[in-house]
Amino acid sequence: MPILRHNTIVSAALLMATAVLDVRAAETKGKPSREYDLKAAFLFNFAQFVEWPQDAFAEVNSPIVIGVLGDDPFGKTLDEIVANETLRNRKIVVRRCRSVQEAETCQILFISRSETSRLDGILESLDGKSVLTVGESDRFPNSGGMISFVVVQNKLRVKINVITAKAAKLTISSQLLRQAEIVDAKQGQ
Amino acid sequence: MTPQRTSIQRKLMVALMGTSITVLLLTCAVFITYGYVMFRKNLALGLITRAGIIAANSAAALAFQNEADGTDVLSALFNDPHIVAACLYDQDGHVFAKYPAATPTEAFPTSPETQIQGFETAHFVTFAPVVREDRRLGTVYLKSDLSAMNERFRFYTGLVIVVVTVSILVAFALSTRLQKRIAEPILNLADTARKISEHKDYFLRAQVQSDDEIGQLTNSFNDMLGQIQQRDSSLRTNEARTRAILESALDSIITMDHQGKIVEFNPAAETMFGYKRQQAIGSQLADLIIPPSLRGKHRDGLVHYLATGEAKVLNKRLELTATRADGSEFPIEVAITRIPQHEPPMFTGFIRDITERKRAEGEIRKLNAELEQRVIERTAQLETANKELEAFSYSVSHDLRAPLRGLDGFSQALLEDYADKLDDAGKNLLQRVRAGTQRMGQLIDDLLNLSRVSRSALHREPIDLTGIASEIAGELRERDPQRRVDLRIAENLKTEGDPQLLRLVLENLLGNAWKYTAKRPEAKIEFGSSRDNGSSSFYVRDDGVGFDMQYAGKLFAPFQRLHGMNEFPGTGVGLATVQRIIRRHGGRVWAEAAVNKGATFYFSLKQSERSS
Repeated sequence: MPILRHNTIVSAALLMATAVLDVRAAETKGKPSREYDLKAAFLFNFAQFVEWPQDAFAEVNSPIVIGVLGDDPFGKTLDEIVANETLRNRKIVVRRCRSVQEAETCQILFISRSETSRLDGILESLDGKSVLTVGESDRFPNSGGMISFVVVQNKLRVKINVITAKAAKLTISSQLLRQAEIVDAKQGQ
Repeated sequence: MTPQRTSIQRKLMVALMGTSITVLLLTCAVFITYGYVMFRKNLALGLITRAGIIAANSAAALAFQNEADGTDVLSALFNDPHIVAACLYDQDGHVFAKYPAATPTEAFPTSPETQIQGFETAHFVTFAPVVREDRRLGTVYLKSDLSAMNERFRFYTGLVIVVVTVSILVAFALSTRLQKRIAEPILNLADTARKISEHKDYFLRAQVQSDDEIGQLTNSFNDMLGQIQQRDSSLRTNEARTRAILESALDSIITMDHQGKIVEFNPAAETMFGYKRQQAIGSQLADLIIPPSLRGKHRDGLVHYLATGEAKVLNKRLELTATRADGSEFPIEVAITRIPQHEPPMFTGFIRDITERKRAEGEIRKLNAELEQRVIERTAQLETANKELEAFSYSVSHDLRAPLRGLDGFSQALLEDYADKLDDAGKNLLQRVRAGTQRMGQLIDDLLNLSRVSRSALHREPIDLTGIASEIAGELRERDPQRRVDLRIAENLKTEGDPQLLRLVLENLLGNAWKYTAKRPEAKIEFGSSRDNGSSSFYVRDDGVGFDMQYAGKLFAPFQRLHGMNEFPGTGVGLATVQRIIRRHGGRVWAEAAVNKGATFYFSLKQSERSS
């Protein structure tokens, strides 16, 4: 087992993710699982590779809000990861959204599996808002979402619909895009 | 090609080539050093930059745990063959991705912090942090070998060798041309100088090939040649002239050096001494032409002159004796002179054979002696004859007096005893007879005086002329007491001479003055002395009838009279007697006069006063 040398949770999470290749095996440890630790880290890292338009924020120093819509699979992990972090002079906060309205003012929105049935409605109401939507299903980017987590050869990867992201006036770093499987289909295809 | 010529050419070549090669090598050294330093710097910069780029590109790979992408990013290093190893460390310092991918993890430094970026012996190592949005995501490690630098170094070295070789060739070609341009005029000048000094041909001129300093040097050289040529020709002319003088001189001209050796011997000398020029030159002068008895003196004189600069024989005409080749001696006249400005000293002698002159002189001396003898003899004969003549005239005069006295005595007796028997005419005739006899008596007395002046011996003693003159004046006044004459006699007139004869002189001169002033009612006669041009003379001056100076020459001849007998009586012997007496005293007598303006008779006595 690797020894924790850094006291930051991000490092710990990454460390664990690197050490344990089989994400599903991590679930043996119970919830929140290692898979979601990694996903939480990825959510945080998306903020570094995505740029929002100015009007996405209410004020100059408004925080970057990572929203979780539906059942929260992360437990405390996500909160620990963003705690005390700032990005581009903005604090990063986690918001557990109870309504879509609440989700509209997030910058990153994780839509839980629990919302799969209402997904179209949620995405519709987010249309025109600069919210980076992150889902878990493989179809998510093809059905109006932007980023979904996929597992390829036991590794956590992402799938990105660049057109939807562009429509939401989000700029995704080419470096992130290089990591991802690109979907350039329009919504509903 | 003489050694000197090679030398200046080689020197020029060495200087030109040496300079260019040194400059070139220095430049190359600087160039290589600069290249090396810059290359190292650029290499480091390039690697650091590359590490930075990789760091930037691998941020997402690290962020999203994408090993494959990390390896992919690193694989871009494939284009640079010098990068031997590279890797990505994650945030915890674990190797995340490797290049080349097959490299074992142990080949990389275990932790990025333990390594210091920079040059190792054969590698350059650098680390670059991977940072995204101020977050450290990991580290890039890059290791490059230095073969690029070595390659570059080899390339530079090759380049330097090529450049230096080409430059040396070009420099050689240029120096050869340059060297020709510089050396050729100098060589030309040197060649001309050598030819001139070998052939003494001052008509040669060096060719002026450029108008630089060498051209100026050549011009100056040519100018000097011109001057030398001029001097040479004037020297030749002078030499020819001197040679001509030497060859044609009638005198022997012999030049001797300070060691007494003959250095010049002209044809006249050959003839005079009987030696050939070649024989004489180099021989000791003393051995050749100086009689053995005089050689020592000659050598001592030369040594003395060289030591002290004193010489008794230089620049004089000397009469000496010389010897000929056959040993015979003959008289010479010689003038020896030192050749001016010649060191060590040289002497030239001009020698004339005076045998002939000596013989002529001897003859003249002999003739003179004979002549003298003859004169003495003749003089003796003449004196004898003169004495005989004087004795004869004396005896004649003396003997004439006896019958004359008889004539006068008888005439007087006739006049006294037969006065009553004679008429006046008879008496008158007798008176005339008597006057005639008296005059004749006087004449005989004078003649006797004159001859006595010549015959009697001269007794010189101090004489008081003033006294004698006063006595004579007294006698004259007694004779003619009725005459009024202002006769002045200067005081203290003294001289030396025969008293009787000088009394005769004064009697005559004062008597004449008395006589020729007879027609003046009041006459003036003066006896004095005068100094004229340092000589003193006595004079007797009167204001009588005087005479015409054109007859002055006749005054002192016997029996010559300027006045008629009936005007002034006289025998014409008096002044002749005066002159004879004065001459016997070694003096002179002369007169100044004008008709009716009186006359002055001067006489001087002492030998020393006979200045004219």
